[in-house]
Amino acid sequence: MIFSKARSQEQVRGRRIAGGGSTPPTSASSMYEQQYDAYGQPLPQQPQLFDDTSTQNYGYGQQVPDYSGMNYGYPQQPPQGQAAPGGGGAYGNLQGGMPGAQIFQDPMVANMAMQYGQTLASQGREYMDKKLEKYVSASQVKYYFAVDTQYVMKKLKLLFFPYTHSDWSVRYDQNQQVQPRHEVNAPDLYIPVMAVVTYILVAGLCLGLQERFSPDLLGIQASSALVWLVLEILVVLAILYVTAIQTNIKYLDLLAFSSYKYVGMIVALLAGIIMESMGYYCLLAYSSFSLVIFMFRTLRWQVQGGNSEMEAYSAGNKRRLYLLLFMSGLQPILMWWLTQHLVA
Amino acid sequence: MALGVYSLLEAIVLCLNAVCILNEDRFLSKLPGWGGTQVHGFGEEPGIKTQIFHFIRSVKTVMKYPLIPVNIFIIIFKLIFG
Repeated sequence: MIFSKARSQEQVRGRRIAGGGSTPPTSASSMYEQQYDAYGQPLPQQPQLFDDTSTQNYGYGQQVPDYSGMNYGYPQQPPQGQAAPGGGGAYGNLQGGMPGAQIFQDPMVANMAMQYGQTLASQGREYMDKKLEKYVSASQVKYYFAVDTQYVMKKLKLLFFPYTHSDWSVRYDQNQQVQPRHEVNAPDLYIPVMAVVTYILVAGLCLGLQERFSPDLLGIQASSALVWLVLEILVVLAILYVTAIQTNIKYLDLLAFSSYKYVGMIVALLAGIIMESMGYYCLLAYSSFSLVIFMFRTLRWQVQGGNSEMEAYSAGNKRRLYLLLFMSGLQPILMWWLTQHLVA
Repeated sequence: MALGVYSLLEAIVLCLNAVCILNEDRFLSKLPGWGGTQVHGFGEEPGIKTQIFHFIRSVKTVMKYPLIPVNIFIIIFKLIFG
């Protein structure tokens, strides 16, 4: 690292503003002389990591490249007061010996290249958005992430204690469901996403505590969890199709409902860590029980109450009931299946 | 049970194969209710059997030709990589 006399005072690391270049450091000439900072104190010598070509003239004078890669590579030395090596990254250079790269120093060409890159990127993104719009529309997904802390707290409390909650209906606002932030009964995707990620991490923790951990096992756990999710949703969709139940449930709703069990699984696993099998089974039983009640009540409203009440006694009611029972009953089984191999 | 994404895909392909293999003349026509094309009214519920038949018929129509290259690909993949 070269220490410029003028710059050793500043603790500048990383990005250096272009155009801040003044005369190249005179200390660039020799790397073995003893160098002094502004107070005349000798600066600590640093072994030279790269060839110093900073005195080489660029096409447009002293234009300094954006940031110096060398700042991140210097040997570890504790900062010593004013002569802190952190300030030393004066004129690191990026000319790795490629002659053609000099054309990009030209600001016009650089601007054009940046603009072209930006238009390419935005075009690519538009194209992808259009393609994905058919399957997963972005505005729909945004609805599920419109949550706030209050909602999350209330929902988590509901997941573990649904017994006292009486009104499970979801308010509608001009034919569209009210956002989760204003309505505690609406499904959301924030808790499920967080729960799935936390489950994977807690699974890694469990495996590590039993000396069974290895990084690819973590990947296996993750893909296994996702695959079971997908399978469950496929089965429910197939049943919905075959029995021709008319509901207002959307696919993302189903995804949300199927992933609420991961919260219970996390709690059960943590209890299993603390209290071995006993804690695990107790908490698993309790959280499956409350989750079953939660799912049953929520889905009953969603699957039935979405339509108007005039169809309340149609023949599809029995099917709906069976479907509800099936879905709710599936949750404890899956909760047990996905966690039992993790607990000693 | 460590299911991976590939196992899921394989299972789906196998199930679709199973549905597409059902022979129209020898088996499906013999099933009671197979020729049900007249249930397009606004009946209350189409009934489970008609729904399943609809499903089988649509899977066969849609998936018969795309499944052939998919199967060939999987066979070659398994031959090479075991």
